[in-house]
Amino acid sequence: MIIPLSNPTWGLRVLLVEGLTVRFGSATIIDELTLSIKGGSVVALVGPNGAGKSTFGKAIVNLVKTCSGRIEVHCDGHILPLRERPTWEIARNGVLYVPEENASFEHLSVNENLRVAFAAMKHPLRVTTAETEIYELFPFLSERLTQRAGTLSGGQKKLLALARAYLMMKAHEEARTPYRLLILDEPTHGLSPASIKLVSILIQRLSGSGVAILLLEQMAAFALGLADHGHIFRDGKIVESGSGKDLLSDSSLSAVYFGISS
Amino acid sequence: MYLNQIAVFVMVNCILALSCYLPLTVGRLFICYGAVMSIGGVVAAEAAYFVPMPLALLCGGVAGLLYAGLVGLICWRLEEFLFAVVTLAIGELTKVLVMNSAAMGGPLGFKNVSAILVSPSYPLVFLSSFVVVLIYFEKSLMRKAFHFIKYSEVTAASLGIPVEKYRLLAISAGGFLAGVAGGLYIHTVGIIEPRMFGFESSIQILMFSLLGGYGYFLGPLVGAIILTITPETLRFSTSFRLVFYGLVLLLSTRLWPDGWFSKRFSISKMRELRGS
Amino acid sequence: MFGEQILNGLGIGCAYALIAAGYNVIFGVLKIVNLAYGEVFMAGAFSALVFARFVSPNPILMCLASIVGASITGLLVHFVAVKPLGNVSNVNSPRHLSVVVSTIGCSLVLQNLALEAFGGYTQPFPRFTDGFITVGRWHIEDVLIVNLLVTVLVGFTVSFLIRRTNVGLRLRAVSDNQVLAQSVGINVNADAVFSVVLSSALAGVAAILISQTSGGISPFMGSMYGFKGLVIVIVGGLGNTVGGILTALVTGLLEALTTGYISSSYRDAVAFGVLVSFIVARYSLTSRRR
Repeated sequence: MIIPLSNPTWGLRVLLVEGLTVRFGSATIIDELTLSIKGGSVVALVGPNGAGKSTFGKAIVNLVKTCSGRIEVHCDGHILPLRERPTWEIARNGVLYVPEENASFEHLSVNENLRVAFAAMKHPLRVTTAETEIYELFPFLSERLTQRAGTLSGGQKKLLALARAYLMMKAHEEARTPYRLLILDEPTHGLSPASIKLVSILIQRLSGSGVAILLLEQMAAFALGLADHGHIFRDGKIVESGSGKDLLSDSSLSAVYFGISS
Repeated sequence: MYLNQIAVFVMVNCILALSCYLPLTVGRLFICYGAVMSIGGVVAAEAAYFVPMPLALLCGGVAGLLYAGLVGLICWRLEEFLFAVVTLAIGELTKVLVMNSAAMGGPLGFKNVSAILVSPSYPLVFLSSFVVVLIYFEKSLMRKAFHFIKYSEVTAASLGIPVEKYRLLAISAGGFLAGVAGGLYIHTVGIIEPRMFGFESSIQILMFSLLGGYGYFLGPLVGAIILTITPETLRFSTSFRLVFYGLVLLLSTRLWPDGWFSKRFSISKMRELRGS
Repeated sequence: MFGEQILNGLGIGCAYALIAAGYNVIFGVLKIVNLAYGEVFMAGAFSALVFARFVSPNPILMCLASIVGASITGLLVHFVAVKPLGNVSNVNSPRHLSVVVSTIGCSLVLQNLALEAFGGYTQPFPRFTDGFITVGRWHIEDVLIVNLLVTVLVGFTVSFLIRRTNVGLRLRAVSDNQVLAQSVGINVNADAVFSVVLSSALAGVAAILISQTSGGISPFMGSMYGFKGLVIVIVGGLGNTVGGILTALVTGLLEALTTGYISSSYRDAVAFGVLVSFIVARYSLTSRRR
């Protein structure tokens, strides 16, 4: 791993979640969750459907209401609490959540989908090298720049969302935004194996440039294979933690997915 | 004497509030009862020349029922928001047609009244009988079906509830009540002006339910009583009264977004239904 | 005579088109229908009138006064009646009903305050020009031509704004998927305010146009034009800008033809009747597919 010299958070903790609880009515979706992520690392949160992974991702960017706990991003001694901030402020500070569904603006063109993030930033940004990268990785995007995003296939829409996230992260890098965290909610859902390979390339490039990545995935093999660190998640709690490789062979993984008691 | 008249107005408004309440139980805003009531009043006034007053009032009720049913048929398949807007539009349309029609008195209003009712006995009798009917209605199975329809029309239909028929029933029943109220009104005041057909009047009727809550029939009654008495005691001019109404609407949506009676009804009724 | 009526119709249709566009902007971004929009329009007209009486009857300044007055009223309505009820992204949610009711309340308050302040009579509104040009046998008033030009100008400007600028891109993104827009860093509240101002400005311009063709304004014009505008927007399709504009022009033509060939008092009845039939026909028939 090449450590980028300009990145102040490499290896240091960037995201701290402590005692997070989220409830919908009487159901507790997330129960006293504590977790931290280091800059430049890929952390996977794997678990079956309904475990609460999406809710966790949304809670970090304040798209769902949280009941208690701390969510903070750190850099160089500066701490930014996220819980009470509006989602767009969090996004402008470099913490980006890519949802599982409805991740693209259907009525806008592909080009506009990619540009929409820049329209929200205060300073105009040029990320031409990143753009070339994107068009190399996803040639279908450059072919369909002026078409409405709604005409793309489901998998292509997902890739479009990831491309947009990539561009945004590169823009934040250029703007030297201190907190850079990307939360991907089931990025491989509905993708072909070839596309999944592209997704892992993107993730590796981003983490290589210092972005911390939180992968919320059902596909444990993919996520844990890519991750430096992983957590197994069930019913709102972390059941097991460890490095990516260790967890892959851990028995509690199958217990969580298949209900086999060990 | 003055108190007498206020009592009559309160009772007429109570009946109107109940009429608007009925479509609300199936989840529909029927913003046309001003026109329904006025048509009922005109028919009642005409009928009063030929038949005794109680019968004339019932004729007004039937006319209201038919007219509301017609509007309900026109809006047969519209979803909630469009439904509200189209009923509003039909009310306005009726107002314009009436204003241009000499038979209905033109812009000055319909004044062809045979007798003026002074005592509050007629309104009282009608209001009490409606209240009794509603008490039984609220306990009935049909009321529960209505509640299901309001909660989710698709689910109710899949349970075999005849959604559209019940909706029409609710609207027409409301029409009957409004027609009777119209007959009582015209025989108390002596005139129905074209503006009673229009949207302002229909909105005021809706407001009784919105302020008092529309989970149980008492809500609209309370709303009607409050909204009829308060401006009287405050003696505002017409415009300020309407400003007051508007402020009431604004406040009530802030404080009780679902009306204060409806929460009580929803929670307890849903528990009951779950139990059965 | 026929040709003149067509042009009259287009002139009124232009104002309706602006009102329809205003409703569509608000609906697109906020996903609500603001039933107090007619009163915003009326406030613009009266702001211009008051400005003319106390400051200066200069047409351009009066236009600006109308826009400013409408914008202030629009913002007032937004912050009092809409914003406190929270973000509504689902049209059929129960909160939506609350917004309908609360904007109706707002409209009642505004309309009756205006009634108290100005009285119920139609106030004469200064005409900017009484000239006319003659084309063959047609007698076209200057006012109509100005109306058409202003509408086209405004139309192009707004269209440019929405399609080519960053602001427009943000508005379209919010209108498309509000949650996603928030996640990419778009300040939805600020852009909502912008769209309120934009739609109010459109109402302000429409107010000036209407005041020119009808010669007078009254506190009731909010109800009348606002409601007609609403029905027009629904027929054209909520959120469908082009549909709204076309319907507006057709309605204007319909009204002009009715006034010319039948009678002016049936004008509204015909307009409402046709529009309602359209709604019923279109929405009742298509919903059968459910």
